[in-house]
Amino acid sequence: MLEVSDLVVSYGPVAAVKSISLEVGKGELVTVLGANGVGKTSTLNAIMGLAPIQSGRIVYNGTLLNSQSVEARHGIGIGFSPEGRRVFGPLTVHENLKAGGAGLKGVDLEDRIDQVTVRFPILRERIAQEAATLSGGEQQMLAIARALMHEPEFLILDEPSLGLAPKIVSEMFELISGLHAEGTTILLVEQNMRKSLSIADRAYVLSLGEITTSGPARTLLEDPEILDAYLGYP
Amino acid sequence: MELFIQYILTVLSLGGIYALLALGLATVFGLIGFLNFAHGDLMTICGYTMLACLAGGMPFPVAAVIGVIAAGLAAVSMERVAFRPLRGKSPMTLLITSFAIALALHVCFQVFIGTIAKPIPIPSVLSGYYTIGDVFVSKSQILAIVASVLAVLGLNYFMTRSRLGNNLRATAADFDVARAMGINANKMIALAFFISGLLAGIAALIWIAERGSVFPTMGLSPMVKALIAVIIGGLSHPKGALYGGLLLGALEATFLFILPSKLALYRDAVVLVALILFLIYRPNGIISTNPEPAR
Repeated sequence: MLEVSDLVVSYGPVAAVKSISLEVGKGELVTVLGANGVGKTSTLNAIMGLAPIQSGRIVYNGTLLNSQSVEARHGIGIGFSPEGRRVFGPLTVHENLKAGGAGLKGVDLEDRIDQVTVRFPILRERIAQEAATLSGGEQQMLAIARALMHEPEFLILDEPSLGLAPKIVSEMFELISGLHAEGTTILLVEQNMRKSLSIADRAYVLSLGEITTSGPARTLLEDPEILDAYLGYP
Repeated sequence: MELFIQYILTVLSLGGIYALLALGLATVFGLIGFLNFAHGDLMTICGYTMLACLAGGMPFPVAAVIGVIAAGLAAVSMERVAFRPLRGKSPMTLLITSFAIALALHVCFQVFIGTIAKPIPIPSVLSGYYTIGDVFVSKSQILAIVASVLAVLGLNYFMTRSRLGNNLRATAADFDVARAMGINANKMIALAFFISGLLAGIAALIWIAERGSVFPTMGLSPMVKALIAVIIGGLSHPKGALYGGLLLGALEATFLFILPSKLALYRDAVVLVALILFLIYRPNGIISTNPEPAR
């Protein structure tokens, strides 16, 4: 479904991503792990068209994305929940969801909002509330719900558990696992290594802008040497 | 009491014009993060378009509508021709470009139309006064208040009730994420410029109804006032532009009423000193949330 080959992302003279290659097959949940500042978010932003690609290829369902606009990438079925939630703060929950369905044509937005919020009952309760006033967990749910508004085939989630209380983190991973079980292909960037590996099919580990190891999530999760060596997690 | 009513009417009519122009500036600022100095020239374009339409025998209301639409289209053209190629450059580059556009337009108006003010015949329905008790209310003041209120309410309705308005607000809140939601950034920026042009056009109608003429630098003075209005209102929220415009109108009206006639010449200077004092006390303006533009 998604193939990234030899991707290099630079901000001026600084290379944030130094030749990364990864694949995500249809229906898979693939996680990209690593510490802060190793290039995880830059990789996702490059896939979404929000970071400058110096070289490499990004192919989605046979289409080369390198020169496609951000809007076009959304249009071919890629959903995006960015790092830090980045909900539209001055807009209400309802208005955020409407914005998430901006590209939809011939769809009743109210019906779609009803469908999407079935799995987010708290958002229904807060539907008329300004997004900026939601708690961190609620904002994260809104960011994911907003990305689901156009029923993406492929969902990119950037650090959905960042800054959330442990109980909310567990709920968040249950939600992601549920989306995966329903057939959504997911590329998940996370720092919460154990939980990510427990729900993912495969994983890539990044260090200083390069992939240092990859493999089935279960293998990584059960290999303490790899955990210790690459993730600093005994 | 009569004086107070007269004062309130002056505040609302003056503040209304400044608020309309300031709202236009703030709408564009919210999306691409610079103040378009050529904004006032959209008023002049509206004025000259009306003049041409009236000279062609069109009735005043038709000429007015065409003038306002022309201002909107001129704003879109400015964006397409001058600002879009510079997208992503620093706000300073865009600001200087807008200065250049303003100067180029002034020269074009002076060379091709003339430096002398051209009279625009104002229909009797918009000229003259009503007398209510001891209060004299000019028809142009009523036009200013009604048009400003309707424009602000219409803009608010569009922004909060329509799908396009929702997308525009989302884009202003987070440009990149809005694009990742499938919102067409180019369309939103063009829409913001069109709205700013329409607001400038409506402000031009009020301005012309009060003064009865159009000249090449007509938009300069109200543009500077609108610039002051957005700065004192705060750039983080369109409401700031509205409040800034009304506050500026209130200050001008106050000094108009309290300054003796021989000091009337210094009214603008006194207003500016008052605003400097206000900004020392509240440097981020009336509404001082995050002033960072979307882009």
